Amino acid sequence: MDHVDRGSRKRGLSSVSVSIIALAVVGVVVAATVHLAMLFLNSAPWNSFSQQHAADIDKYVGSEFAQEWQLYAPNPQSVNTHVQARAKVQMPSGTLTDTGWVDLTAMDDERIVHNPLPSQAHQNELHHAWSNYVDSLDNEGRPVGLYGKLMQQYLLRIVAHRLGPQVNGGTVQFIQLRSANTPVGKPPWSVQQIDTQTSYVVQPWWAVTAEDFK
Amino acid sequence: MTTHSPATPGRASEPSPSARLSRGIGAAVRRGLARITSDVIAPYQSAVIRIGFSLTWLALLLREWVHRNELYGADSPWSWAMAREWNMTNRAFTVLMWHDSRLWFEIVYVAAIAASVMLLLGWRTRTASLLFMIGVLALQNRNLFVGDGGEDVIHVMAIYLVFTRCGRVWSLDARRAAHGRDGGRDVVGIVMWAFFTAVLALVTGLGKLDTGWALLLWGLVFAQLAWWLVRRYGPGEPRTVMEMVGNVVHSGAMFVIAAQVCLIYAVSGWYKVQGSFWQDGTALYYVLHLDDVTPWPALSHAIANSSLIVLLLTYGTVIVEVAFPFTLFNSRVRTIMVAIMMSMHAGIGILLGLPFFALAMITADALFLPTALLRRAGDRVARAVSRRRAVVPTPQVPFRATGREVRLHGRASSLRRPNR
Repeated sequence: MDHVDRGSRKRGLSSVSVSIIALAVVGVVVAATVHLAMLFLNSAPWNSFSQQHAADIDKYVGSEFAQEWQLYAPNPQSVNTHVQARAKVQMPSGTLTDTGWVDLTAMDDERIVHNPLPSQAHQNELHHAWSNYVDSLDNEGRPVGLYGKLMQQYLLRIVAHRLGPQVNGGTVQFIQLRSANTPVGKPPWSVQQIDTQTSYVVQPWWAVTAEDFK
Repeated sequence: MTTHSPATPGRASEPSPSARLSRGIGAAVRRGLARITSDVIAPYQSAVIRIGFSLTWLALLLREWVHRNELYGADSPWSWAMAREWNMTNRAFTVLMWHDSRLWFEIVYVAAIAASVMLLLGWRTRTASLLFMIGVLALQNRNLFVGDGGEDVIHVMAIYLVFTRCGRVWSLDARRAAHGRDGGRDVVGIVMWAFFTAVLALVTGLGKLDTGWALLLWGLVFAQLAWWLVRRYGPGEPRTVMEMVGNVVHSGAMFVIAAQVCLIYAVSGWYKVQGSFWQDGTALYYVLHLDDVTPWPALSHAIANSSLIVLLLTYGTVIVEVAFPFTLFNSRVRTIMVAIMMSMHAGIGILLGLPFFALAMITADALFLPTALLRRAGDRVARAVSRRRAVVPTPQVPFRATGREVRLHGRASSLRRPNR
């Protein structure tokens, strides 16, 4: 009944109006189909079609529709990674001395614990910067391309901001980072057990400029 | 539109199965077309996601108020110059790249909060959705490296919402329309439009906009002008046509949003299936021992200590994520699934300390709630509000009555309105 009513009203429209509406329907159907196909190809595993059209898909998805839904997949992390930093400072006497290691991740975790609304600044900033930097390294441990360069600079600046220009009464000249990686270990009910000893991956010393603290 | 000629002249009285099938398909397509053109589909669902996503983003902006400069502003380790260098490669759109000053950043941040409130209340929803999207993109694209999945959801949804008619119910716009003030001159709307257009003209003149964004924003500006014109001067067929085109775009956007949510679950599930920890049922054990997602370590470790609970939660997560898109075809199963998903996300929000991600996903889940349930919930809220208002002895437009009018308005065929 309702549809008949609507249909007759639609027929009451002029042919120009009907074509505008028809055009809108076609346009929307095409746009939605293309959009969803692109999103699907962007998220789906690498396949023969996406290989051929990788450039087009990347260009379409761009940064506005880019999405990463492999949440804790294929496997969640099984290692707690703590980013630790130390500085080479110049004392008023002119001598260079190394500070002890500061566990920046532990400081973040302290702000997360018992906090129902943790800040992205503590939850994601350092954590993401570190993993992005590590991902940008080549086999020799050097950052690759513009992304690598920017990620190194970003990480250095995060650490510089947190340490500040003065540490232990000296001026920070160089910063060194390392990750302390502690495996979570197998569940207690598991038959196999693994070593949960903390291991370290040390990065080279990086020179700091006054700009990096701003 | 389709002519029904019998397949063969001799058997005119009894159409062949294929003719019946094509006639059936034709009828279904016609019914579908009538539905998406003549009415705003899923007005309550679109309102609930409008409210949910704007609330999530608003809450996040307020939460990060003290950290705003560190995350997106002048004090960020991801400096303005670095952001510009990077955004040149991916062409991410952010108004924060228009000017490198503290004041501009503060204006944008406050404006993003204001736009979220506008969209939440459904006040000038069309403009609000556009400003909301601009605010979301401005901040997120200024620093792409501090967000998580919650930001990703809000990012894409903010873009989709621009194309939905999400203010037809549960909004100040709906209330205005119900009071018959829809076709008025709307001075506030004109002022906002003029201001927005002036800013757009300025930045277009300065060459700060990509062609794609310029086309989109100018298109939306002119669409709004056309809306205003037909509302005021073209109440007959022009308005009907615009309503119908608007409904079609809305339907398309709602479909894309629904498919996007399915894609999130499907991808998340499909990749988990490939992981050995998800296969042997221990994945949750590891997650509950990661320092950055265990704000309640004692609770997390207690849950992780039970092999049975870990197994059930691990397998359960994979099962519901993979199954989700396929459960949507049956309304009862769908509603149960939505309830499961919402509980799962509430659990993630509390246990893993990801409240904004959880809120964004709960909103996405709410898209699939049945209309009757949403309306019942809406009525209950309206009643609670009106009861609270009744305590204050001020003369009021009864809120409940307004609610009912709003509902009627939402359901009424937009085709009938021009002939009012």
